[in-house]
Amino acid sequence: MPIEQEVDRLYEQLQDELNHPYIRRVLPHPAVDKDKLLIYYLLFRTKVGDRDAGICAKSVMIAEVGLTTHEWMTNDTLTDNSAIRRRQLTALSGDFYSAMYYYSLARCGQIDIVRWVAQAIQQFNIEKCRLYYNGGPEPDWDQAVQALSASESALIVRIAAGLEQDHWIPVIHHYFLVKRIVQERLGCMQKKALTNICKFFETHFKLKSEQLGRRMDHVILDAAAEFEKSAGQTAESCTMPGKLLDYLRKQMRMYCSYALEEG
Amino acid sequence: MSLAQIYLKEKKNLNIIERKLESYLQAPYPLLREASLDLLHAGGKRIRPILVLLASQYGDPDRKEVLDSAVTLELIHMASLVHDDVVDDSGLRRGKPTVKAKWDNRVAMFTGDYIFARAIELISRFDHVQAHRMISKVIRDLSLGEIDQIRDLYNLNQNLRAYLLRIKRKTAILMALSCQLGGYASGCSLSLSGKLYYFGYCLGMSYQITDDILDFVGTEKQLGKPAGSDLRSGNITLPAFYALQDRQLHDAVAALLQSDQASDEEWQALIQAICASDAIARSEQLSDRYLDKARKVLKQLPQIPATKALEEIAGYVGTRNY
Repeated sequence: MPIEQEVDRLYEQLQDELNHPYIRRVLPHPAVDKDKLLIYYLLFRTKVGDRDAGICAKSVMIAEVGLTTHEWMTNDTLTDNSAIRRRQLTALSGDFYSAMYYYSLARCGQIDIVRWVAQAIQQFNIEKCRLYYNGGPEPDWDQAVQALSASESALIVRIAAGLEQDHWIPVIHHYFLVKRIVQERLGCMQKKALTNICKFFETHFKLKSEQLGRRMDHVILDAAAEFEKSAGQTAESCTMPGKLLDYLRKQMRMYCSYALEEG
Repeated sequence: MSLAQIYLKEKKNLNIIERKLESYLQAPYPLLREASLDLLHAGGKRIRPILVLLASQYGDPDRKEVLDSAVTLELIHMASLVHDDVVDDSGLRRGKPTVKAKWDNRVAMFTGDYIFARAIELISRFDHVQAHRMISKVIRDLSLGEIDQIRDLYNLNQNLRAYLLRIKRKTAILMALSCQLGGYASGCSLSLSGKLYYFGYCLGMSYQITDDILDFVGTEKQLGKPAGSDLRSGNITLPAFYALQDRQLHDAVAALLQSDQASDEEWQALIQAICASDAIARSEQLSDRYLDKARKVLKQLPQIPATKALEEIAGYVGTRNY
């Protein structure tokens, strides 16, 4: 079966596994990043058979979904009952997904991967605190971008390291920073901020939306250039299908042109 | 043997557990570290570590996995408390500001997730796939129990079974796991660990029912929140469930829950009416039935000092008033 079809199949299975009848009634269905699913699957295939690689990829994606879900938590004072219920379930569904990754990995005896994910989740939360609650005297844009970048790829980078696929780390790291910033940028422009990040950047750095847009464009261009540089190096030591690199490059070009044209 | 004597006897190990908890919560980022340690220093009964320690005495209590199991379960419990305070919008826990009150909801999410991940990392050293299956199932069910509780809020038509399943998932299975894991980590047979699980389950059911009773009969000073807080927020616990079987009380509960402007006096009057009904006595009876089952399990266990201690803990659960 071609890899695209295998990933589509895993994606469908994941949708089922993430389906909780009550959560579905109250919260939007969690988004699954298909690019991450594809990379996880290919990374795991370097060490385990196709079937287990699929289970591991889905499990780690569930952990990713748990972390993303908690990112939706807000600090506003709520009085409306349905908003309160959504907040309660945002906390609890994230916990449910975090429990699910351990549950499914324990079922197939992949305890090393459980440990890598747990370590990566710690790093993710450290980076999130660094991003939102940097106690320095002045807000530091570069540090904030660095924290965002580290949190975006915390899990996938740790898995790549655990599977001794370190040569993929810089590529993955820059790729997911660009992807996130582009999504945020487009979300802001279409007035439907995907998460709290744009709002946070505007307030924390006292930026008007055009100024923030320009800063984000800079980040995209810099990270895209870094991505291209590391992709060249990865190609030389790559043991995985070269197609993945081609795919990521194609996607990267699309993200860059899309964001910059819209901007 | 009194409860105080049990804690005294286990003091050395409890101190080690406390130090391990402290070292495990030394996060490399100051905010996370402060939030995590604040929670630890607020204290707690440490009932789960005590259960692990006592259960381990049926095997070899000196095995390294025993203390790691106790630390892991307490970390899981602590992580769930941080998130519970966001869910319940609680400002105080054990008389101290909660993480969400001192910082905010988002910090509470990061802190809870961080502590939970520390717990999983610690237990991942445990080289028993079977143990991981047990632990991960309990953690999954724990979160399902919390979701069920939100789903069932304001539902006056729920049945007893729904309530029991909810408290099983919410409270009892973590106590059950504490006993089971204590046995398993110390090298007990699966059969003995299974009995310890059942003891912990019955104990946990009684513990939660008692908690739900105390929410009605306790004073604001004892509870740190107004009496009847569960019902006020739409949570139908066992005393409320029994009270709802009385037509008058049912209508009164329904009216106050539907009203946006129910006064504190109206709530107090309703809580008093529920306390004056047979709802509390019936709840106590069910709690006692679980304790009887727990004691029966103890009779099937080897009669060592730990059995007496577990019996004492069962007695404490049945009579506690805080």
